[in-house]
Amino acid sequence: MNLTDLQQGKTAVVSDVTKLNDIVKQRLIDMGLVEGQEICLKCAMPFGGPVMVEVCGQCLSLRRKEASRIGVS
Amino acid sequence: MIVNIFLGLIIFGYAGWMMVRHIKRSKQGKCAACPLHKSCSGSCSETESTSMTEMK
Amino acid sequence: MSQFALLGNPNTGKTSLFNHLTGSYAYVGNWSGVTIEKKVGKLRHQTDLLVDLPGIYSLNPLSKDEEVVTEFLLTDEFEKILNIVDASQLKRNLQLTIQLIEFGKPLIVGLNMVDVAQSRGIQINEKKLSDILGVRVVPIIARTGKGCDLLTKELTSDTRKKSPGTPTFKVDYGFLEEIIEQMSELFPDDVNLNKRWMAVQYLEGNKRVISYVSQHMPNTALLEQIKQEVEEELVKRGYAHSLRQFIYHMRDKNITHLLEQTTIVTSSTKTTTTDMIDRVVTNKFLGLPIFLFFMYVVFMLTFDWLGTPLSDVLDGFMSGPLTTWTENGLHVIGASKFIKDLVLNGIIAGVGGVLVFVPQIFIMFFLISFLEDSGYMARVAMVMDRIMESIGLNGKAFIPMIIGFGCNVPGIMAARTIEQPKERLLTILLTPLMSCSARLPVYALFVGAFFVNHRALVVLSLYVLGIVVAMVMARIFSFLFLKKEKSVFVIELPPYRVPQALTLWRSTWEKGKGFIRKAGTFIFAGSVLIWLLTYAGPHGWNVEMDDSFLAFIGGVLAPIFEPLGFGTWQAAASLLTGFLAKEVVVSTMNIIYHAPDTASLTGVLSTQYSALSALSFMSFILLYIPCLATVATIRKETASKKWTYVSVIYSLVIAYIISLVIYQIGGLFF
Repeated sequence: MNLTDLQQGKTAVVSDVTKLNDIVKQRLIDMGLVEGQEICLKCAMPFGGPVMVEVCGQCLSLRRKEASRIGVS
Repeated sequence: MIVNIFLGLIIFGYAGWMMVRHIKRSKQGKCAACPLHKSCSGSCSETESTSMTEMK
Repeated sequence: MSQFALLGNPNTGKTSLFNHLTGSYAYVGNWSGVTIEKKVGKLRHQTDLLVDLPGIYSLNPLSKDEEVVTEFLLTDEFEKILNIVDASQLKRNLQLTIQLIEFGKPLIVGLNMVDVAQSRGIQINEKKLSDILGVRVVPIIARTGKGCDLLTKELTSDTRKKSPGTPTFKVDYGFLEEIIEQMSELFPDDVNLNKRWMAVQYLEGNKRVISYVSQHMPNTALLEQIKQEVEEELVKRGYAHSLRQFIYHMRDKNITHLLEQTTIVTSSTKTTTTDMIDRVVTNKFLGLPIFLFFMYVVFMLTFDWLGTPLSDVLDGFMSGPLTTWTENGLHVIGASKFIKDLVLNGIIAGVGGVLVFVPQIFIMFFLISFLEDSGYMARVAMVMDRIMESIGLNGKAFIPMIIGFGCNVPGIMAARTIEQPKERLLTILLTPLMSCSARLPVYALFVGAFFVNHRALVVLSLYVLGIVVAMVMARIFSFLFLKKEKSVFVIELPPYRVPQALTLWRSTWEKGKGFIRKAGTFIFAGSVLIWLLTYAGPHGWNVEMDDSFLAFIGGVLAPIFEPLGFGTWQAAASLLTGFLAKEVVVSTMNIIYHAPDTASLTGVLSTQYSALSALSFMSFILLYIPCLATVATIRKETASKKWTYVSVIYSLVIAYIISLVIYQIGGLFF
C-alpha cells in the first residue's frame, strides 16, 4: 500500500522511500520522512494537487505523484 | 540674487549627485535593495562563481 | 576581531536571533527560505562579527541558497559556529548538529523555541544535552530576545580561553570507520578542514565537497573506487540501500539514544490551533477561493476602504497648505521666477505627486508582511502548486512572485530556494511581471481619473493580468527551450503564529522606508531633471512645454505608441523615465501636465486619455520593462547576459502586444 491509499486523517508507518526521485527523496529524508516513521495524511488538494502530511509533529506538502511512490504499512 | 544662485546650486547639485548615486546603486541590483546594505560587510556576489554555470 | 557563523535548519529563527544580537533589522518571516544570502553584522557592544546564513537541513546543498552555506564553511574564515536548534524539532535538527560537530570547529548550541517545545509537552534537560554533546547549550527565545545576552557572553568569552567549546560527541559509523580513516589518510595535508568530516561528507555524496577535494587533489580515482566498493558492500550485506541512507541511520540511532537520556515528552498529540486553521484554509474546495478572497481584501483595503481616503488627505495637505507655505517662503527670501518654478512645478509636483501614495503603499506592505509572518505563505505555495505544475513550475515559485508584489528585486532573489535550475530561471524571468509597489502610484492615478467606481476591481484585474501573462509565458518558455528537467515540489508548512505587532511594523517600515527614501533622493533628482527638460528647449529657456526638449524626445517615440492609444509625447516621455524607477512615471506626468494637485491632474488626464487608452497605458506600464535595479539583479542571479536580454526584450514585446490587443479589440466594443 502507498501513501495515497491512506484515508484522510489516518496514520501509518513509512516502509519504503527508495522509489522516489533523488531530489525529493533527499528533501523528505532531511525533513524526517524516513522508513519506520509514523506518517499521517492530513489532506489532499483537488484535481490531483499536492497532499499534506504530518511527520514527527511537522507538516509538509508534496505532490501526489511522489506520495504514491512512498510505501506505507 | 545671491539667494537664487545659492538655492539653484544646492538643488541642482543635490539632484545631480542623487541621480549618479541612484544609477550606481541600481546597477548593483540586489545589494541596494537589502535593508542591511550599509552595515553588511559580506559581499553579496560571492556565490556568483558557483551560480548557474549549467545555464550559460 | 573574530567572526562567528550562524547555522541551523530553515525557519528556526536564525535571522530573528541575528537581529537581536546585532541590532539589525534583517528580513524575517515564517516560512523556509527567507534568508537566501549571507549577511554580516556586528555584535552589539562588541567588535566581533556575526554571519547570518540561509537555513539548511544538511551540508549537502540541493538549492542555491544552501550552496551559499557549504561554500562559506569551505572557504571562509571564522572562529566559531553558533548552531540554532528548534527545541520542538530536536530529532531532525540534531542531524545537522552532528555534521557541524564533525566539522571540528568550536560550537555553541542555541536551543530556540523552548517555549513552543514546552507547550507541546517536551521537556529538555539542557545540562545533560550539553554534557553529552560536549558543547555549551543555551536555551533562548529568539522572537523575544530571551537568553540572547547569555549567548553573546558565551560566544565572545571563550575565544580568549580557547579550548572549551570544541565538541566531544562522536558518532560511531560502525564498519565505515575503517574506510573513513583510510580516506582521511589519502587527503592532502594542505587543506585546513577536518579530514574525518571531509571523508564522511565525501561518502554521503556531498557534491560541493567532492568537487572541493578534486580541486585539491590531482587524482581522486582511488577515493571514488573506495566509495563505490563500500556502497556495494553495504547493499550486499543488506544494511541499507545507499551510503547516504546508512550514514543517516547511524546518526539517527545516536540521536534517538541521546534524546532518550535528555528529553521527556509528557502530553502527546492534541488538536492544535494550526490544525484547526489548516482545516479551513487548506480545505480541498475552499483553499483557492480563500486565497483569492484574501487578495481581494488586500486590494479593497489598499485602494478603496482605507488607502484612498488617506491619500486624499495627504494630497489635500500637499497641494494646499504646503504649496502656499513654500510659495510665501520663496517670496519672502526673494527667489526669482526660475527658482519658484523649479520648486513649485518641479519638486513639489514631482516628489509630492509620488509621496501622496505612501499610505496605499504602506497598507500593501503591511498586508504582505502579515502574509509572510503568519505562516500562510507556505500554504499558498501548496494551494497554488496544481496550477503551477500545469505550466511547468512548482508551487514554491509562487513565493518569489508574492514577494515581487512588494519589490521585484528581493522576489528574484527569493527564487534561490527553488531546487531545479530550470524552474529557478523561469521564476526569475517571470517575477518582473508581478506588479511591484512602484507601479502602484501609476494605477492609483489613472483609476482615480477614469474608474472611480471600480478602483479596486480595475487594479486587481491588472495584478491578475500580470499573473496570467506570467503563466502563459511560463508555458511558452518551458515549451520552447527549457523542457528537459523534471519539476519538483516539497515544502515545509510551519505552524501558524500570530505576528508580533513590533515585528510586523518593523518589516512594513523596512519595506516602506525604501519608497520614502527614494522620493527624497532619486525621485527628487528625476523631478528636477525632467522639469529642466520641460523648461528648456532647442530655442532657449522658459519655452512653451510643447517646444521643450522633453517634448522633442518624447515626440520621436510617440508614433510607436499610436496604435496602443497613447501616442502623445507626454506618454512616451514618462515611459522613458520609468526605466530608471517606475514611480518617476507619475512624477513626470505631474510635471508635464502642470497640475497643482492630483485632482486637477486627473482632470487634465481625461482630456488626453480615454478610459480604454488609460487601461492600455496601465497594462503597458505593468509589463513593459523591469526597472534598472531589477535588470541588474537578473544579470547577477542568472550570471548570464543572454537571459538578461531575453527578460528585457520579451517583456517589451509582450507589453506592446497586450496593450495593442486591449486598445484595438476594446475599441470594437466601446
